[in-house]
Amino acid sequence: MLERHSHSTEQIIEDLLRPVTQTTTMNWVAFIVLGGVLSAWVFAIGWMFYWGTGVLGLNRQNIWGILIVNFVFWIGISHAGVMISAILRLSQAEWRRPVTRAAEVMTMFSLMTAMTLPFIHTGRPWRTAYWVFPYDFWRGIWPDVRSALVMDPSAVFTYLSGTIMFVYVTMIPDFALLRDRSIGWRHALYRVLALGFKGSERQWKIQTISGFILAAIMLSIFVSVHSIVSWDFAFSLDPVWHSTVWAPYFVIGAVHSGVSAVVTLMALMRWMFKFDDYIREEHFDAIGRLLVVVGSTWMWFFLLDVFFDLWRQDPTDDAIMRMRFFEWPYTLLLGFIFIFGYFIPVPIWLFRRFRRNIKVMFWTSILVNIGMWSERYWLVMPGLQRKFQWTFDWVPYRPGPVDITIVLGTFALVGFLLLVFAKLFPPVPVWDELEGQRFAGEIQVGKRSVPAIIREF
Amino acid sequence: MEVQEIEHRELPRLWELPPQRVIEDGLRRIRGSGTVYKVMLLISAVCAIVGIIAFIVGPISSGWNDRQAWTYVAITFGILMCTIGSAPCFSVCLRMVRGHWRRPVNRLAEIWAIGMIVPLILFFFLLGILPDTVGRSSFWFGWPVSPYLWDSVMMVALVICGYGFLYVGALPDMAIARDQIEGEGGGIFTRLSRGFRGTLYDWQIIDRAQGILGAFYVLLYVGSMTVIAGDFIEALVPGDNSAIFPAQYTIEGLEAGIAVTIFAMGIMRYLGGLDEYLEAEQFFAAAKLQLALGLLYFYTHWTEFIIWWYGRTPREVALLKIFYFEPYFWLFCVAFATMFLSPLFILVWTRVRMGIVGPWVTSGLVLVGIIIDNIRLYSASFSTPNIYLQELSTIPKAYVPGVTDILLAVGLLGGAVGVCLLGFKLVPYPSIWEVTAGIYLRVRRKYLKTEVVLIGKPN
Amino acid sequence: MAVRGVLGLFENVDTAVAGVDAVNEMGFGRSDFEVLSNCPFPEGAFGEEQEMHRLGLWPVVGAACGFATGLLITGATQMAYPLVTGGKPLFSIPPMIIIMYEGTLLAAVLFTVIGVLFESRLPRLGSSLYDTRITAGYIGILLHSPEEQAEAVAAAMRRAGAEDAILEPLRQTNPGRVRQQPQEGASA
Repeated sequence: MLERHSHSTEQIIEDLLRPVTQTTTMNWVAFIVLGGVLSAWVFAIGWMFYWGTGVLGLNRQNIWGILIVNFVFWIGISHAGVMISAILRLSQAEWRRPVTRAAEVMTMFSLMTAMTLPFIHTGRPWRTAYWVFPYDFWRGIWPDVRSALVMDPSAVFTYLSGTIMFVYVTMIPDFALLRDRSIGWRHALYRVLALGFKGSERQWKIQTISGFILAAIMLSIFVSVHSIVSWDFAFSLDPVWHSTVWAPYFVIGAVHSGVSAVVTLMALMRWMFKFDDYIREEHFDAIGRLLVVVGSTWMWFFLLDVFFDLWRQDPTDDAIMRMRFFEWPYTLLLGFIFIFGYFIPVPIWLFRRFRRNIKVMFWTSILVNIGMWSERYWLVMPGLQRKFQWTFDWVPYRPGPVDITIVLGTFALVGFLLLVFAKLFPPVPVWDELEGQRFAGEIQVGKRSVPAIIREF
Repeated sequence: MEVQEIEHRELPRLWELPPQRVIEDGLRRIRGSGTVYKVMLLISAVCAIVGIIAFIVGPISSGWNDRQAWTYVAITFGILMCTIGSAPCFSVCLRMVRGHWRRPVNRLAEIWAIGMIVPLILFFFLLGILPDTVGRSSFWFGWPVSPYLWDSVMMVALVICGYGFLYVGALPDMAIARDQIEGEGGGIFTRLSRGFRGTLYDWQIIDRAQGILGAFYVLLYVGSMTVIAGDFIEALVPGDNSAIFPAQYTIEGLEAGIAVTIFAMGIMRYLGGLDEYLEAEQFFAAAKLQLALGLLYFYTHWTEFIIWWYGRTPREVALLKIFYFEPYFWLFCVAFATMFLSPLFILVWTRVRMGIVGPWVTSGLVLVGIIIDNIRLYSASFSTPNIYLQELSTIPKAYVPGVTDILLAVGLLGGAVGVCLLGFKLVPYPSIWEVTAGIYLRVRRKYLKTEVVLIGKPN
Repeated sequence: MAVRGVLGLFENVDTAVAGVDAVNEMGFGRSDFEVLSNCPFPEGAFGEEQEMHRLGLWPVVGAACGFATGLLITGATQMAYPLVTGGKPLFSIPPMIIIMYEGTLLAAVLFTVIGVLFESRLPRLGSSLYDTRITAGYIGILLHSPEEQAEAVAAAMRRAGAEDAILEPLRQTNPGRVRQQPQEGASA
């Protein structure tokens, strides 16, 4: 953006390729720790496959537990990529440049992680695959398109495929850069991925236009994905689930948690890869302002959901809301939602001084995601706990160690995949940064030199 | 290899204007009025008189016990809240994204706030037909004097904030008018400009005040539309607990606010002689937002529809019938076509958005749509006989307006437009200080073998 | 006619513009050469002409294909296994719309990406004149000139400030494009 330091092309390339070319001690520590947690994750999943889903905390009416809560959470995190990348590309915001790729890649890995959860949660994923593939000719039983559980894979698959293709297309110029600077197996890999890109005017023109087109399409997909995930719950007649507001509420919540996750990622990238000159305070300032709007909109939808659950003063709805407000652990989670999700971070983000403080932004973004994970639990589980009418069926849900390990493992999986990505490909788009430098200029207004941007007409 | 000449769009002429010219253009409407303006003002005055008479003859003489007699008062109120009420929100949004193209547009969006006195007066009359919250659905939880006190607080705060937001933004231009307009014409600006001198401190105050008042305006608008949607529409339809509806209504309002601004841009360009200020650049950018809001209109309606369609309880089926498929089906179709299909199919094409006619025509269609949609919603909610039931057992017939209703609506809407027109005698348009600041921040420069525009970003 | 590629490598934009001028002075039009760089320049920075592309058409075609496929899958599935669920009609249009929407967008993205590769002339499978210094920040001017002029073009680029001018080995044009000169005495 406009507080950029003027570096030579070679300096920019070297700095931004540093994660690929160097592996610091911090990298190794992160790999080992995340790898350890991942091993526990794999073990927990294997344990569940072997012993069955009884090892989870599920019971008669709590047929879904924190696995589905976690699924919704990771789908939510995945919305960051499109929000940052697509919307900021379409509005030609300069501050998007260092963060788009990381956001898009986080989207990709969040989606992949989220998809593992419905795959494993049946306890017999080979049966799940058999149910879906082949798309049935022989048994005469077709997946029912009227079910949200069928719409969900179509949406998530579309989003994942779209994101992978979007990331790939925008990375082609950087593959060419890596191709020209590598040897051995890396050179072969990058050469194949670069497809012979040479940086002609036509190719750059196509890159720019395709960025706009793909951004517009991805934006349309992104709204639909979390809406369909919300309809997994809202299409049923479960009292507090069956609400007209859940689709946009889930989407805006996803944006809130996703963009906060991007802030976390930005801070980590800056610290781990020494990207101080590329991920600057002004980026945190801009994203903080966006988060104030997004967070406030999320709070509005949250309040709409709560108020309209109580609107008709229906006894069933009231009973669930009473549980949500006054019973353990929902009272605690409600506190997390309000305090961590909104009342600590958003007032902090109103002040420029705090928005430009990386540590403050990092910790507030973590708080937001604690609040948002709690929110998903608070939304989903009470509806299940009071699903049936008979009080002898009201058994509390308590996640077991296997559930918790699987959930923690998903965080490790995303982190691990991001680290692996950063070892192979530059996490900040090099060509995008070079373009930003090329399109930056200055205007003299009186005695002041005002930073400026070249805009083509 | 096929080649073509690069089609450079003509660079906007606005940013080449000398600042003195901007001052002259900005003060032109204050110094004198053209024939078109006088005719429009006269028509509005006649409309206002007709509207007031119809208001007295119709709803006032029916009294507050007959809710249906107030249907078109509510519709007029709804239309005004959705259009002139939301236009300042568009201005706030444009300020937040800090694009330069917005500079000639902001004032045109903010000036509608002057007309907010009209919906405020209608609101106070409508409070009389609103039942209290005892025994019916509401989100007030038995708070004292609900919903009257809290709805009133919201509305009054909104209107005051709107006037404040407009005033603060126009203050520097009022100072220019104070200094440039001679004679009695400049006298009122001496009082209004409050000694503004354009020091650094003055500008910082203006900037800060605009930010705070703008943010509050948006919050109050969203809050007001939420309570209006809840108390004036949903609460009056038994069984309606659609949580998305307040958001749906607010988003419709925002879409119409953009439409009323774009429509006014077209009028000012062609009839107001402001073609150098309101160029394709402004229409192109505003049309993108119009398209986005049109898509959100569809999205919010779809989410409501699909949940009721899947639920299929008798309560939900009745709601689908009353709002979408039975008495007001054709109204819904027209609203859907004008507020969603027309922005989608017209504005999705870049070449159309790059012109002026496409966005302007679409904005006109959206305005037609918001009128129709408000007729649909308030006619449905004001015609239910018993609001204390758990669900609608029979679907009331469509309310057909009488002559008084139509005269009332047309008259009061015309009157509100007239009040806004009067605002142009007090508030310079285009915004002199903002456009001039933009001129300083844009420079044409040669770049190798082409020409580019550098846009300064001081913040 | 033998054609030979010449790639001039310029260290900065000023010398690159001088290189463009030098090539123009030798009689080559803007469409005869391409400028290679490691990031985009403002459009027209090295001259006015721009190649046409049809990238905008690809997502439209893709969307239409996806829409049709979605309609087919959802419609045929419901008709093949007619089961009333939750009181919904056998042929339920609202859920079909959702899956058709996803199908439309997926196909639009897929076709757009194929379009990007096609319009960018990727993958480039054969060898082509290129230098790795371009990704390091040099600006390349790549010209395919007649063999007899290649050396002169390279010399002109060096005079204009090119740090290096690389000549491609000889290659023939597509025989189908070569106009046959009529032999003496042959009938028309």
